[in-house]
Amino acid sequence: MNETSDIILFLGRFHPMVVHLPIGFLLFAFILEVLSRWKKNPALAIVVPLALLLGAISALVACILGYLLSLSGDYEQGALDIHFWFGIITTIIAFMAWLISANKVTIPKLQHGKPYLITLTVVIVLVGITGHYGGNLTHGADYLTAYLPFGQFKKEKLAPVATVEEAGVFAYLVDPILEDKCVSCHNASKKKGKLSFANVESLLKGGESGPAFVAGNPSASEMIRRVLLNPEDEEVMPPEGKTPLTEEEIAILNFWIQTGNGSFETKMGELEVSEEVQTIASTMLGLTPNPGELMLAPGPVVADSTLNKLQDYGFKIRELVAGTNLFDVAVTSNNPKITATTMPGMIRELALIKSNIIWLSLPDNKVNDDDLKTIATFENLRKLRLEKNPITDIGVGHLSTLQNLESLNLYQTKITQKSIPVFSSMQNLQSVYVWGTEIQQDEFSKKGSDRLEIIL
Amino acid sequence: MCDHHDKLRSNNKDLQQVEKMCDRREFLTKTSLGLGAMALGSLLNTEKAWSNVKNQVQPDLGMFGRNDLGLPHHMPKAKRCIYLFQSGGPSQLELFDYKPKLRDLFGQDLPESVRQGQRLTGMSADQTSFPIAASTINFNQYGESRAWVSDAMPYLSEMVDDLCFIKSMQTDAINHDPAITFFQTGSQLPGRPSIGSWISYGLGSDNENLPTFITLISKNGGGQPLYARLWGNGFLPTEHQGVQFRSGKDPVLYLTDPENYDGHDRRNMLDYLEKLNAVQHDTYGDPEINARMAQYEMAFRMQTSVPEVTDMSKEPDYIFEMYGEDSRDPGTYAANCLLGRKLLEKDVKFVQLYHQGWDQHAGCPGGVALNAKKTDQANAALIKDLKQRGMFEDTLIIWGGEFGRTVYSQGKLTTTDYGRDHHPKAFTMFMAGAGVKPGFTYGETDDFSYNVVKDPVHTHDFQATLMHLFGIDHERLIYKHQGRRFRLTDVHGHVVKDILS
Repeated sequence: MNETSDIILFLGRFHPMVVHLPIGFLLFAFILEVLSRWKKNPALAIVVPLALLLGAISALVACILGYLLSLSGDYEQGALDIHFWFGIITTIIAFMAWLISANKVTIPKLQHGKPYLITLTVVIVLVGITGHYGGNLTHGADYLTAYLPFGQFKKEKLAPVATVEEAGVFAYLVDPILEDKCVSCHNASKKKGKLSFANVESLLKGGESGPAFVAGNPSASEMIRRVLLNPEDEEVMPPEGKTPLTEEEIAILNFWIQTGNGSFETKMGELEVSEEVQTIASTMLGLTPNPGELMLAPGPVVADSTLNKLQDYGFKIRELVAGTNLFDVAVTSNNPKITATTMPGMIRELALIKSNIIWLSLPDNKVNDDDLKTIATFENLRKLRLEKNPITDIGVGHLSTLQNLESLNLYQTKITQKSIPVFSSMQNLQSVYVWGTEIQQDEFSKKGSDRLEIIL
Repeated sequence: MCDHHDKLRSNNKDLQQVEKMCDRREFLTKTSLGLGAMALGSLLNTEKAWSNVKNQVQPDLGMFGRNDLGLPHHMPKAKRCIYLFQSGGPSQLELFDYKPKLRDLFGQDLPESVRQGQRLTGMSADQTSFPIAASTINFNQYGESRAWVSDAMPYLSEMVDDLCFIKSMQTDAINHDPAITFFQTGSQLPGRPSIGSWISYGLGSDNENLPTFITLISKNGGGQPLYARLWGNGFLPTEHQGVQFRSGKDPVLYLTDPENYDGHDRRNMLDYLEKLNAVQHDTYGDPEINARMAQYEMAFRMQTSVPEVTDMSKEPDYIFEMYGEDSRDPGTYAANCLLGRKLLEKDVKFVQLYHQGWDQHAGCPGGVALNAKKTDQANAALIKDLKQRGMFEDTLIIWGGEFGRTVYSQGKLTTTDYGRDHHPKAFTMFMAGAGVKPGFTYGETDDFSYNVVKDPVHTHDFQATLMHLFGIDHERLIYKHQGRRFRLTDVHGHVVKDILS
């Protein structure tokens, strides 16, 4: 059946449209029947036979068109058979129901009694089952359940990666594109053009037009040719009406076939990656889209009233990126309204939004060692400015819990070289400013590392 | 909307006449805006329509720590900026763009293949020849980055590993006025808001006791004039204009109380004034009344904040020594650099210095050396000072002029002296600090420092990059004025991602 004539496929493609007619008619008949019994109003049931007849006839037409469509061979045989037979049974039973309701056959036991209602119910159930399998053929078996709450049917999630280099080219970059733009028509149950991207084997096998790709040669690869075609071209993929691939997605496919040589195992780190691909990949992976641009998960929602209250205390609060609830909190240096007695209370109040604070700046504002105990619980801090405060090594000791801290400013405080091990223990710390303290050049040079810079 | 029973409305016939005119216009403006906004709200998605309306009002940036303009768009690198504007057009050929081959071409006519018919200024266009002048100032390589710096900048040459040079700057204008206006406002014609005003409008103040945007000008500048529009707010609300501190002992006039007045009832006076202004604002709805009220309040707070921040007496001697002896003399470039650092410490967001005198049409080697001497030590000291205070990582430092200078001599060329005309097609700037690559050089010019051969950076690209470092997408910070949406970069500008760290 390799040569299916065009007229057959043309008619066959009306199947997805026509199937909705029997669904509507039959469901309508069922609802009328139930309503008339419930409301005890026989008048409502008058049109039931007509609805059943129209339902049965349209079901028959849908069956025929469906058969024509199946001749294309684009569908997986197993799933197709189930849909095929359920469709035929539904049609037959629908005709039976019509015969009974219209008194064309008179089997006294069936007439108007419970058995008649059961027949109707069976029709509706069959319509549902047939429709479901039909839907699976068109959209893929997991279409319905993909976004099911609780997630047990969700595809196994890939472990998140911290850097672009760790990501497998195919699994992390190519497969999600295929999944998003191709698999709805090229899957195990619906193989348009006999091509399926459901798994590696079927992808390697290719389809009617030959292999999907030629390793190392994008220009000879059918999938690249198809996605690059003019949108008006008949062969363009995805076909008209579906979302086309973006330039970035095409760049990734190209990169995978050419640089990645179409491998399913290679990781990004093993390849020479152009800046463009690197940027696209990091965006796709949800990593930093621009060099040096920090991406953080949004913080917990903070009530405006809380922020307002904190501002009244003298904190200047700014959202680092609009809508993220991540804040840069600052008190301008040497604020005359702040004394050694008011600062501890202010910082305790600030702890209300401690997980939202990314940058904190309290220079020259009488912050003492005890206050640092509270600040040490602000676990999301990246930048902390405490210069010119009466802080000693004891206070710095508390700060070792701040494992996300990248920059710590302690210039002109009372700290000594005893604080250096604390700095070294902070995994993400990159810069510590200790100008104007007791710490001298040679004291940290032997302990310093490549990661951590202690600035005098 | 239009209150006809307002207490300020008089029975004076002439005034009533005026009121009627205002009312009709105001009624139409206000209703059409309101209805238009409502219609838009239902047509577009609500967020977009809302932001459109927000453009008409002064954003309330202080409230709740959230920014009504939806800024920053992305994670900022820079919290503050000090822009060291070198007015006049410093010669890249005598400072940073080392062109050794020019020595062999001394006195030869600039090949037409280089100039390519470029239109010159009226000052040198009528020259019969364009003799090539090599720099008489020597160059050396410095630091791990091996950057070339001339002997005119001995202090800065020690800091090259902190600097990000852009050697491929380009601008559209060839004369001072349009070029400097273009650089500072994104348009050669006056009337647009300056960079600092856009930043102030977009991000708001970090310290309400001081202006968000402050301008300092080296005293006894001479040379090309500077105008308030370079730090003006254009069509943005007036409180976003740069506040110029006078160069000299008294940076802001009239902050001290007059003789025999103790200032005790000033608060009362301002409260009454505010009430009167509020009545006026309710009647006419002119946003400039709000701006005026904000300025009165700002001036009141500056009575205490400005004397504190400008007080140099607590600066230790080694700081003055670092910035150079000039820094003890208020109003000099060095003193302004030091004051700039103090302002940044007090969370002023945008400090703009101007140093005039870089316009060497004649006597180029001497002129460059003289101005370098006035500025070099302070530039280097500022970077050092910000570094030791931990502010270098989130402060953006910018050094540059409005254009560069020509490779050919304007006027007579001798072995020791020559002049250089304006040159917009290639010049050098440097940035340092927040979010830019340290010890990095971007872009290249040809052997004549005349055309850019690699990675050109247009003025709008520079402006887009500056905004980017503050977390602002330059294409999305927009202000609607007279029916058009305006941005700093107009319809141009690309962020120079290659210089971002």
